[in-house]
Order: sequence, then structure tokens, then C-alpha cells
Amino acid sequence: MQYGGKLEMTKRYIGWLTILASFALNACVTTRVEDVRTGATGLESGEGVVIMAKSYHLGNVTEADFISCVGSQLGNGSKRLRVIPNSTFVDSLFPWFEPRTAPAETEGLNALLTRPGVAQQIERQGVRYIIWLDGNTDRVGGGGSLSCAAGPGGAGCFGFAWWQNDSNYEASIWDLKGQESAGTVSADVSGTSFIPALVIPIPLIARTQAKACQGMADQLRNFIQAEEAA
Amino acid sequence: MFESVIVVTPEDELTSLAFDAYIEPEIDAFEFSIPAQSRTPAYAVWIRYRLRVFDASGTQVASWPVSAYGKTHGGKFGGSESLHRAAILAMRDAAAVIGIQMDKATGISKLRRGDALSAVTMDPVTTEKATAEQSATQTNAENGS
Repeated sequence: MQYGGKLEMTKRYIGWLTILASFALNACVTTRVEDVRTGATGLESGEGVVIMAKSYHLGNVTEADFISCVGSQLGNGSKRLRVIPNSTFVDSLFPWFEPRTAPAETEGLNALLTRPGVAQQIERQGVRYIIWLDGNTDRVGGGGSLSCAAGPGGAGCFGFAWWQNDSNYEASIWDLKGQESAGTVSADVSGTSFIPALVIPIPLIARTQAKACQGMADQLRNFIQAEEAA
Repeated sequence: MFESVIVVTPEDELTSLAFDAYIEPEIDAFEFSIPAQSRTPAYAVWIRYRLRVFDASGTQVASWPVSAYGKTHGGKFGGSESLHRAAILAMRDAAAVIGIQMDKATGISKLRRGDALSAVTMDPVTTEKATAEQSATQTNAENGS
């Protein structure tokens, strides 16, 4: 009887720990992902995409880990796209896709593709779409206080801290075959993270950038493969 | 850009080489900023190069300043790695500008004597060292030592 009671308590304890752990991994976030289509899309066999950060000469501050996250998400899964590594693409076309020299608008594509070797190199690598990423994650607010102390008898924290992150990203999709813009996909994610602490701090983290990456990648995949699905 | 390029050191005898243009690159200025200074997550590097172009007879025909900029965000990289990447981006920026605008800025193609344009360029490391040694000599001379 005693053994059964202990087992029941252990199960209950594990259940609470699981709930706390799941909260620690995910706090609430609000996600809005939209696309605006201006041209037909689709991928033929051997065609792929390359993901680029919009130039910092144009004021862009997109994080490198967000770019690699979107690339990784697009290149994995059952409906994965062929993603050409950004560095391979940029190096092979040096100096035409450096932050200072890359075309800022699709109007510059035609002139770029007529330069010696550029169109051939793009065709050799099978790049059909360039996805230009813009945006970043900002901490827009925060407050509270949290303090921790340790002594010979143990350690503990007390207090409450919170902060709000907003992740706003936009992807512009350029169709190199049609030499035109195919459209844009935007992801706006906001979330508030909390750390209440009563001896043990319990982090409730809103992973806005990871959510934006996932939402952006899913929408981009559907956007580019839309014609095939239809 | 050129049919052939030879990188020379001070030990090389220029009179024994056949070339149309001699390019002497050097770094005029190098600046950087880190998040603690800029209060942004960005690491930025500015490099100002100067390319001096001489014809085959040794007459300077151009002195071209090239400003380059590179920027990275800390992210998953450490501070040292981020600054290193920013410096590489700045060097790539300079290389892109030089590749695209050099002829327009310096008129180097007018130095062509044969069918193809060949150039000789000073090893930048050697150039920097020579410039530093020259500055030190000048300083010593000014100090009377």
C-alpha cells in the first residue's frame, strides 16, 4: 500500500515537471504570416533557391542565424526545396552579389544577367529563385526584478522578470527565369517571456525568432511550390 | 581584369620584369566598432585603402582611395569571430569596388602598350611594412635620433 502511494506521488511529480518543462520551452506568441503574390511560381527538376540577406548598405540587420534557420527549414522535410548554399552562390558570382553591388530591385536583374558569365553560372547551379530576407528581432519592452543568492545552506531566486520580443521579417522572392518579382512573404511574431522565481526560477520563454523562421519557411515552401500543387 | 599579374617584393628587380602598370596598395586607415561602443548587436569594420598606380617608367598616374565596409551581427558567433567576419566582408567589399571601378577611377587600361594589359603589384604586407619602416625613419629623423 505504501509502495503504491509513493508510486502515485512520483507519477504526479513527473507530471508537474513535464508541464513546467513544456511551459519553459514555449510561452505564448502571436504569429501572423502573409504572402503577396505578383507572379506565377513553381519549380522544375534540378531547380533550387538561394537565400540572401538584403544588403546592410540598405540598412538591413537580419541575423545570420535567422537566415541559416530559414535555409535549413526549407531544405528539410517531405516537401523540401533544393537550397543552394549562400556562400557558394555569392563566391561563384563575385563581385556581383556583394552587399554593395547586389541589385536592390528586380529592374537591375536584366543588366546583371547580361554580364559575361553571370547567367551561365546561375544556370549551372540551377538557381531559379533568390529569396531576399529583411527584418530582425527586437526587444521592445521588459521589466520586473529577479535576484538570486547562494549560501552554505543552499541557493535560491526570488522575483519576477519579463520582456517582450517582436520578430518582423519579410522575404522578397525574385524569379530569375522570368527576371521579375514573384511576390513577398512576411512573418510578424510577438511574444512575452516571463521568469517567475520562488526559490526555483521557471523560465517561460517566447521564442519569437524560431517561430518566425518556422512560419516563414512553411509559407515560402507553399508559395514557391504553389503552381506544382495546383 | 589583367592578362597577367605578378606580386613583387622589395627584393625583386622591377627592371627585369615586363609590365604595363605597377600597383602599390596600402591601408590608410582601419577602424572597427563593437556592440559595447555602438550599443547595437553589430560588429563593423571600416578599411580605407589607397591604390597608387604607376606606369612602366615609374611615373605615378593615379592615387585612388577605396573605402570599404563590413558588418556582422554577433548571433551564434563570439565577438572575435564576428569581428573577423566583419573584416573579411570589408576586404571583399574593397575587392568588389576595385574589380568594378578601377579602370574608371584610375584609367589603368590606358597604360596598355601591347595587346594585353599586364600589371605588377606590391605584396600588401610588404608595402605596409615598408610604409611603417619609412614612418619610423621619418619620426626618428624629426626627433634628431
